[in-house]
Amino acid sequence: MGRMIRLLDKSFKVFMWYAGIVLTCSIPAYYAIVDYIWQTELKEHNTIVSEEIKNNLQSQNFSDSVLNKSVALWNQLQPSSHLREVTELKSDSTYNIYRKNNFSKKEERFQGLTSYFQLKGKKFALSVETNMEESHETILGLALVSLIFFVLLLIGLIILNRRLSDKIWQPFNSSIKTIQEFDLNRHDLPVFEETDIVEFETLNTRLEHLIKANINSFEQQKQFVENASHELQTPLAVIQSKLDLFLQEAALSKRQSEIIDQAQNALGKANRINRNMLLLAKIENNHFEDREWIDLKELLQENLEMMNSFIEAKRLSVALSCSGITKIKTNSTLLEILLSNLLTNAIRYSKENSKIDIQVSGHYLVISNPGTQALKQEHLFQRFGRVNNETPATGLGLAIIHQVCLQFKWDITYAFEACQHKFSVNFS
Amino acid sequence: MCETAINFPQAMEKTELYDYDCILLDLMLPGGDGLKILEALRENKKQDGVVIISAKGSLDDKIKGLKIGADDYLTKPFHLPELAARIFSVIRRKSFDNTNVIIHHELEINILAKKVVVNRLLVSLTKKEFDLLLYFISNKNRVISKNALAEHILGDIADMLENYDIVYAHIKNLKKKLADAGCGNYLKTVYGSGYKWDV
Repeated sequence: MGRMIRLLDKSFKVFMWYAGIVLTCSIPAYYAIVDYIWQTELKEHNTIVSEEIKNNLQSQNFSDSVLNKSVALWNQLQPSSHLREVTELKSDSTYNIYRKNNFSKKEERFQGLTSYFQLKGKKFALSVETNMEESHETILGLALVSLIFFVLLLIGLIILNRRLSDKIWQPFNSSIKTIQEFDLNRHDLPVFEETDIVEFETLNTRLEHLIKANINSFEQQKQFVENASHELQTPLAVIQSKLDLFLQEAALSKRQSEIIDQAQNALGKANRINRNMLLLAKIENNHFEDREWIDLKELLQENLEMMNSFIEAKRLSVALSCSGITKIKTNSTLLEILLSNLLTNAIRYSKENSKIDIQVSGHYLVISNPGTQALKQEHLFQRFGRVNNETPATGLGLAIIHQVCLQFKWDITYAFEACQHKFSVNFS
Repeated sequence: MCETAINFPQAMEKTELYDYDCILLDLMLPGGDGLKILEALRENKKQDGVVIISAKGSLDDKIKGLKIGADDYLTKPFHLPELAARIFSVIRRKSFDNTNVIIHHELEINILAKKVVVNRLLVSLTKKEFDLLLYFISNKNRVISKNALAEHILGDIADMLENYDIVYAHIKNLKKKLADAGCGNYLKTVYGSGYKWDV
């Protein structure tokens, strides 16, 4: 999966691209229109001016010499028009040129009109010019305005986008939050916020259906496991008794009693798995509702006492250190199961002559024992996650620990530091 | 003499008519709740020993059964020698009027004081060794599997056994202490699959 973006940002990006393209395209269009209007207006203006000049000239009664002088004077004084004598009359023509201005030394653009007329038998050409905005300046101006509007659009859309995403998507975000908080292990059905948006309402209804079905099948599954393990107990007991009875037969051969022994071992494991499954199901089905004040330290000491023969057999040393107030209010059975499972694991997986460290500070417990390799986190607390056939482990010990922690919302973490397996439980 | 009641009314009838040393009571009887029988027994001030056998293993069920007046509570599945030991213990308590001394040839076991005397010589046993000895005596002439032994002396934490070395060590010590005190060798190994207190 690539970089995650928000839904609205995605549409926002597309919109901005589109707006940018449209605004860029508008620049030549505006220019064409502005230039066209301007040119037309200036042409009209030039025509009016030149007609007026022609009329004025024709209405004067100049003598030849005065006329020549006047034309020279005119050409000298009037920068925007020019009179000259020509040999033949032509039809009027317009032109548009760039040339250097005498004063500003800058290229200027001019719109001009050359018209021809006769005065006192002489033929004259009159050019009238008007300064016009250069096209690059027009384009620059238009581009600037477009840019300003684009920036305005951008800012406006960003603000709107934020507001919209907060407002429009609010029911959606609320649904997501509800789902995130939903926990199959707790029995409460999530309540979705009411909304008047059809799509969100449909989403919520469908989610509700889905979750209800989920809870139902989970309940059934839990009930099934409990019933199944319960029902298995009696037949398992019968097999156990029959094997014990069989062992009493006087004429058993060595081979036969070995077979019984192997069957007993397998049966023992089946019994333990069944007992642990039943326990898991019972925790899940909230069979342990009693709460009382228990001292972690005392319970740990009791458990260690019980396991003393194992500790001695492996010549392990156990260091228990406690500080702070170690009393917690919880279910005594479950706490005892949790502690004894943690201790059992630490003892079972420690090499001979090693040291197990148990620290209780207030409501925080850390049990560490030496190891060679970190355990795989992903399957650690899963049922039958690490079961193998060589040890009597049922593969449910850590799953039970995990389930107890879930039940009381305790935080359990595993870490492998400095060649030590560390299981920490936060009881608060 | 051993009698069987296959359902609730039969069990009620028999317990009303006769006195038994020990009743094995399954809680899930066809036709009724086993606990009702126990209640009726205790209401009539009957002193029959009662061992409840049940598939219900939760602490609450156990406490409830013991409160009404059961002498012991055994959760299915269990090993037969375990049941034998419990029955033995119940009967002994009921019939020896709490003298609490078992005499077996040169062996004398005081259960209350947890003392073992061989030929009037005190043998000092650990709690586990004493427990084992009592278990063997309760299962005279029966083969006891290693599994059953381990579960008896270790309880639930027998789960963590990788092998039965710990159990062997306890048995070895017990055997040695008894032999040193001059007690006959009654504890026999059966083909490596179990033990038997042979008399």
